[in-house]
Formats: sequence, structure tokens, C-alpha cells
Amino acid sequence: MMENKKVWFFGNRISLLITLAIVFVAAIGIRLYDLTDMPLDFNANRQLFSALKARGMYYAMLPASAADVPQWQREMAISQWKSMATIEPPVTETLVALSYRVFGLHLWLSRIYTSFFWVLGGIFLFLLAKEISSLDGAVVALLFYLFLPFGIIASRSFQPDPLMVFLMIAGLWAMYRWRSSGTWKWALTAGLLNGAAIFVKNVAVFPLLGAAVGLVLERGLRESIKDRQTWILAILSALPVGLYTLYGVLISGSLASQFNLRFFPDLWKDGGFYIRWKGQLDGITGFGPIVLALIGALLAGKRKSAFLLGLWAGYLVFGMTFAYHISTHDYYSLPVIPIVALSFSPLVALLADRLEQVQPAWLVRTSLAVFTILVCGVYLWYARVDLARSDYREDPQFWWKLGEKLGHTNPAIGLTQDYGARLAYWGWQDISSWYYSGDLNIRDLAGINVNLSDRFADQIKGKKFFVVTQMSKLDSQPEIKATLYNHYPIYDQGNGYLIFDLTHPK
Amino acid sequence: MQVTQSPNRSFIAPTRWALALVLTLLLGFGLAIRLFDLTDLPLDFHPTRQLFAALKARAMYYQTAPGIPDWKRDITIRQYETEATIEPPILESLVAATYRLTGEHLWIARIYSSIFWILGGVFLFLLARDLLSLDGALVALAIYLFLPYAVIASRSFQPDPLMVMLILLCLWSAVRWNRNGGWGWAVLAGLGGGAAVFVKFTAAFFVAAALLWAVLDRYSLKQALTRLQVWGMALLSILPAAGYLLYGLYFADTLGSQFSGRFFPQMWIDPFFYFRWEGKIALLLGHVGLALALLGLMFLRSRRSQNLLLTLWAAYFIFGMVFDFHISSHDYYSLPLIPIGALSLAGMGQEMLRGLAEAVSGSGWRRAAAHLLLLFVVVMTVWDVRVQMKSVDYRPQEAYWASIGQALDHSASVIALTQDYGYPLVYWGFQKASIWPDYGDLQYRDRAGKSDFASRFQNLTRKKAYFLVTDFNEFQYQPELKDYLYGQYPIYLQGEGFVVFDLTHPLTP
Repeated sequence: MMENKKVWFFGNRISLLITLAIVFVAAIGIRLYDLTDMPLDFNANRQLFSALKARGMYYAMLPASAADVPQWQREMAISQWKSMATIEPPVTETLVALSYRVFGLHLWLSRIYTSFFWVLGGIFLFLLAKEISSLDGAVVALLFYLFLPFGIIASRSFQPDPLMVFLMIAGLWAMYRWRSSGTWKWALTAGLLNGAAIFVKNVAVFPLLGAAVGLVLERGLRESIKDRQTWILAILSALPVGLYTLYGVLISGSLASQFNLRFFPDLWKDGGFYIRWKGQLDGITGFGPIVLALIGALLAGKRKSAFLLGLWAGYLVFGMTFAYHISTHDYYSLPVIPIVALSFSPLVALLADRLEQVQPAWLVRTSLAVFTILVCGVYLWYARVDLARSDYREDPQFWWKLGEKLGHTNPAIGLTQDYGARLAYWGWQDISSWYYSGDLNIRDLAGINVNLSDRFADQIKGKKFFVVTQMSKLDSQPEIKATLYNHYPIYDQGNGYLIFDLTHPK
Repeated sequence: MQVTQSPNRSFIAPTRWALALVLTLLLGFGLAIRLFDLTDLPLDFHPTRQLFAALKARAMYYQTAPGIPDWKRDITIRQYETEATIEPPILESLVAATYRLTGEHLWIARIYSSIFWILGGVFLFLLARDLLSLDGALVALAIYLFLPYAVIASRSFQPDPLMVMLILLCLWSAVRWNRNGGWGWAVLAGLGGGAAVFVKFTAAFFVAAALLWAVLDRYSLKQALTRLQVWGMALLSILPAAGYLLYGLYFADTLGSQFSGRFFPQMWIDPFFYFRWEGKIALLLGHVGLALALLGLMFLRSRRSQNLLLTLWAAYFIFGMVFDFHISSHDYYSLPLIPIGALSLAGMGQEMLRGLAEAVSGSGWRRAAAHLLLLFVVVMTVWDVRVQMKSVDYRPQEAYWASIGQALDHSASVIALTQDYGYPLVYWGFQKASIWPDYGDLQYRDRAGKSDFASRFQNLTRKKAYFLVTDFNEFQYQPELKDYLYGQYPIYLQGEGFVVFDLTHPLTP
């Protein structure tokens, strides 16, 4: 592997700075496009989960007299927040709730935060890619990270992942710097950043640990173990989440249920699992970039290869651990975007080096610039089209009206979008969500046998309504559909909804 | 532009035995994946185009086949006679001839197309060996064989796989002629090119580009005009298609309508045309693949290779500008881009492999990991395509269309809003029907300035007894038609997935 170059393909430092400035502005610009649309464009359930938490926190912070909604709504918002499961510490939600206090309750504020987190991650990605490849490799890695259409949409979403990815990249950069310099300053920085990333979302531990193991093995296990810096780095990385988990499991009990239905080793033997996982990756980065990234990781040079392959191993272990989720939830693979970007940067460096031998240089540079602009332009255009295509601004009105029909406070159960989150957020109507067929599958995988009719009878106890807004989901459960139609009168129905009255069985 | 490079050993196939093994694996896998799910119906890729060819093949077969009921023979042959003639039905004739030996099995076409594509791969590999390193040639072959789009498209019942194979034969021979000269290569290039254009006229762009490059890279224009071999190549490549064209235009009058509705220069100033076109290419190569392919041109070994590939890209561009509507709406029009893209990408691939070989040379496990990674890519791609094929089973469609044909008694005077221009209906249902245009066609007609619902309905339903609807998505897209039918005509019969309106008894006479 060639030594890192100090100049980039297009020559001087000024052109690099201008390019980077344009890239970062465009990256922020596309993420803030269509800013005020509802967060239903990407894993709506996960986004509304955070939105409900942030709203509850906001109303809890406000004195009752200052709330801009009736008292019952304020109380419901707080109760919704408190009844939500705790998965990870609500860092982004807290930030957003605090911002609501300054700017008022605007759901799109979260989009600004997460977009900035992702773009900030780009700075560290650039710095790290420069270390492991060259300036050329770093620029291409940055472009990939910032302009990948999936990354654009996912990084605007209201969930902890953009912040986690940002901190994870910063942690990786600091770890790599630490390995290069061997100083306490970098050991402490890496430990703190790793700790923050894992605290925000504990799954960050997998790639971080993988990369760390790669560096440790490359240095020599014995030498690394003898080094106090290694231990401090590890302790700082583990401490915040360790304390949080101990508190959540042993003291508050809020995390006790979070480790259920997550680990399915049976899937490892199922060929379809790997195909579905690959299918998720195809949708995120495409298979081609992953292959290029793996080639890049192999040709990077000893330490760099160890670091990059460690990252990949971490991701692999992560996927095997969360086998069901990695193969069904695309956002679980969000960290793979920086991993791919970093991994193919050595390959870009190699190719750029080869291109420098091609004459005439001006033609090569011009062509390269045109191609790069075209590819980024196409990616931005597709992301823009994707965002512009759907307008969810009318949705809150539908849910509000449905909430009104249900009376807002009447106990209800149903099959509605995102486990009832839309109805809860905009309709101000809490409902228990009846199983989706996917929920039954996951229980089946876990060996839990659900007797549908018993479960149904149990679940509707004390409920006044059964609400259906996802007719296809009802169709896919003919037993429940028949029970509802045969035994309960229709209370109300309209465009897109159906309400059964559970209090007056036929 | 020229890359300086040192000669080196192949990373993928360092020995002759290894090369033989790799080639056997690539070509074997390439054929095997194409023959997977062989007997499924050809509805996985442009059904209209495939069934168009299937109907022709069946009609040719029924003309002489014993034991076919007369009504079936009549419907099939009448349908055949009304079909447009686009290009000479070579593949169809071949399939029909095979039916005579084996009986009518639609999947036989799949075997022919697949073999043509694989043979094209052999020519591509030989060509790539002249332009790239051995590793580069293997990369080009792997891309050509295993690009998921290529796998599906190249098993389809249409002339394109044969055309691509012949273009590659012409290209390889032209490159050889360019390097070595000689009548043998000139004749082969001319025959290959001529056959390609004969099989499908659109090959002319690529054949012309290849031959022009071969001639002008070797001679000046003035010199070229004095060379007999050049004239020989030109004549051989032009004559078959020109003869067919002249016959079709002036004697048989079968090609008269084939040149209208294909060229829309006003689209050139519409930026969305280019986006749509790029979108179609992205289906083949991916957005990044397209960019990398263009970038890959810079990594080619010699100016000669670069000029050839640039000429082919230019030919594709001109072809797209001429057939602008089709290139931006029919992805299979871009099929010849697959070998061009494969060769272009392979330029970069060979540099990548050289870098990889250097980087892993000191470490056994990393070298093994690199080889495993390359194998993994091929296996995963093949597996993915297999899953895609297995995920859909079109076989029940045969019974569905047959039941509709039976319900309509095969002979009724029918107009239909139905899938794939009525080809499944006529193929499996033996039910001829005039076709009510779909939304895309209506837009296409609007572009050509032909529109108006009332007169269209009156014209198209004249002398028709029934209006059959099987494509309910389309029905939704045409609310005017839907309202009119439900408002004006009684339902004659309906069943699972179809409804028939009785046009002979309007509700309000």
C-alpha cells in the first residue's frame, strides 16, 4: 500500500476546502428539504416512539398553566411518555423536548438535530478515512456517506441512530489516532467518545469493539494487555452504558424486558436469514459497494486492514446477535454506511494513484470531476424525488378525527398503523395494538405458542372498541376477522377506518 | 490516455489449469442459473415481447403439426398473420423447428436464448483478452454473465440474446482483423455483423461502430476506401439486413409501418428523458455501476482499447437518441450495453485485482480471503437471482387465462383491457381480442397527437360484443372508461380476476 499523500487529486488545498464546503452545505440542504413533512417517510413506528417521548417530556417540563393544550391532553402526553418502553437513554428526545420549550412543539425540530449529527459524523469520517487511505479516498468516502440516498432519508429520522453513528465514527477516529500516537490524550478521547456512542445506543459496542480488537491483535495481544491505556480506554467505553444498564435492570427495572425477543440463534441455520440480511444491505448500500469495501479492507495494509476487518467482524457479530432484527429492520444496519465508506477508501486511494499516471492529466481530472458531480447529482435528485413524492401533512387530520370518534379516552384495541403510534400521537387516543402477522412470526421463532382466540378474548377485556385502519392486516388474520364480523356490531366506518363495538356483542 | 503498467501474473487464474477451472465454473454457473426454474412461464421479463415471439413460434409449428384442433390452429394462425413484423423470426423458427421434434414446450426458447448469451460470453472473453489483462477479461466475463438483470433478460424469448452474441462475434473478429488483418477475420467480422443486424436492426449502431473503429484505427479514410477487405466487411454486414428490408418494404410490404412512432426528437430537450434513460441503465448496471463503467475507460491498457470502448459508448448514445422513446421506456433496449459496460468496468477491475494481489502477496490467509471473497460475490449473486426466480411462480396463470378463453367460448368478438396487450389471453386462452390501450399507450398516443375518449371508444368497440377487463389496476387509471362501462353496459359475466361487459345490450339504448 502506498504512503498517504498530502495532496489530493485536484491539486491545491483551496480547491479541497471549497469542495468540502459545497459537499457539507449540500448534505445539510438535502436533509432539511421538505423539513416540515410528518416523520412517516422512514420507519414511522420508531420515529413516533421518539416523538411521543419528546412530547411527553416537553409537557412534563411545562407548568400546566403554560401548556398550549387542554389539561387532559397534557396528562395524556405525559402518561404516553411514561408508559413507553425504555430501550436506550432518551438523549435525542431530551434535546428535542428542550428545543420545544424554546421554539414551541414542532416535530420537525428533531430532523434538524439528527441531520446535523449525521453531517458532523462526516467530518470525523473524513479525518479517519484520510488516515487510513488518502485525501482522495477520504473525499470519496465522505461523498458516499453523505449522499447515499438511504443514508439521506435515514439520517433525518427521529431516533438515536444518527447520533450514535456520529459518536461511533468519532470514537473510531480517536481509537485509530490513539493506536498511531500511543498517547494518553487519544486514549482518553477514544474512551469518552466510545462510551458516549455506546451510551446513546448500546449496539454501537459491536463495531467499536470489533475495531478495537483488530487494533489490539495487530499490535500484539500481550503488549496491548500490558498497556494501561488499553484498560482505561476499555473502562471509559463501557462505564456509561454499564452504569445505565445496571440502574435500568436492577434499580428502576425499566430495562428488564428489553432483552426479550431479540436473540434468535435458530435463524443462523436458516439460509433465508442470510438472503434477507443481504436484501437489507442491498437496499441500503447495494451489494456492489459492499464488495468494493471488502476488497478495500483487504488491500489497505496491515494495521488498516486489521482495523477495517475488525469493524466488519463487529458488524457481523452484531447481525448474528440480532438476527431477526438485522434481517427485517433496515435501520439496524445504519452503521454499515460509514463502515462501507471507510473500507473502500483505500481502494479509491489505489485507483486514484493509478489514475495519476494517466495522461493527459487535465482530461482525467475533468472527467473525474464531471462523473463525481453527476453521481452525486443523481443521488441527490433521487433523494429529493423520494422526499417530494410523499406528502404526509394531511395524515394528522385523519388521526385526529378518528381519535374524536373514539372519544380519546375510551379503552380501545386495534390494528392500526405503527402499533397505534399515529393514533396516539395525532389522534390523542391510546390503543392496545393487536398482533401483526410479523409479531406472531417472531413469537413462533421464539417458541412461544399463541392461542389466538384465547389471546383475543383476553386482550379485549375492558376494551370498548376494536379499531381497524389496516384492512390488509385484518385480511391476513381470517380467524380474527371472522370473530369480529360475526360477534360484534360495527360502531362506525368510513374512508380508511372500521370500528367494532366490543361492548355490545351480537 | 495511457496507463503504464508492468506485466504480472493473473491473480484469479495463475495457471492454465486454474484458468480452465475458472472458465468452466463461470460458464457452467452462467448456464445453470439461466436454466433454473426452466419450465416457469415467460412472464418474468417483458411478457409482451416474449409472448409475441411465443405466438409466432406456435403458429409456425401449428401450420404443419398434426393433431391440433382446427379452431386452435385457426386462431393461432390468424393471430400470427395480424402480428407486426419487426425483424425476421429466426429464433421463433428455430424454436418451432424444435417443437416438431419435442412437442410444444415454451421453455425451449429459454434454452436457446441462454446458450446464445453464454456463447456471447465466450466471444466477450476472447475480445477482452485482446484489450485487458487475463484478470480483467475474467472480470468482464463475470459481469456479463452474472449481472442480475442480464441473467433474467438473457433467458427471455426475444431476438436480443442472439443479437448480442452476434455483435460480440463481430466485435471480436473486428478487433482481431484490426490487429492481424487477413480475409478470415474480415469475413468473420462481416458475417457476424451482418447476422447481428439481420437478427435485429438496432444492432446496426454497434456493428457500424465496431467496424468503423476497426477500419479507421488501421487505415486512413482514403486508404480504407481502397482496401478490398474493408469493402468485403461492409458488404457482408449490410447485405442480409438490406435484402430483408427491401423485400419487406417493396415486395412483401410487411415492414411499412415499422418505422413510424419510434423517433421523437422533441424529447431531446426534455431533461426528464435523460433521467428516465439513466434510470433504465441503472436497472442494468446500477447508478454507481454506470459511473464506474465510464470511469473505468480511463483504466484501460491502451489508447486503442479506450478508443474502441469510447466508440461503442458513442454508438449506444446515438442509438438511444434515435430510439429515444424506447430507450427511456424499455429497459431491454439497453441490453447491448451490458457487454460494453462489462468491458469498461473490467478496466477498473483489473487495476483493483492488481492492487489486491500486491497487497495480499505476503499473507497466505489474506490471499485466501481475497479469493474466497471473489467466489462469494459470484455465489451470492447467483443465489440472489435464484431466489428472485423462485419467489414467483407464474404457472397458475396458464389455467387462469384458459378459463377466461373458455368462458368467452374462444370465438366471441371481444375487446379487452388486459395484461400485456392480450398476449397471455390469446396464448393460453386461445381468445383473440382487440386491445383497449393502457394508460402508457394513451400517453404515447397523446405525444403523437391522437386523443379523445368518445371517438376512441366508438372506434375500438365497433362490431364488438364484449368488453373484457382483467387488468384492474389499469381500470383504476382510466376512470372515464370505468364509469362509462359500468354506467352504460350490463355485466355479462364475471369471475375471479375478470369481468365481461355486454356491449350488445346497452343499459340506455
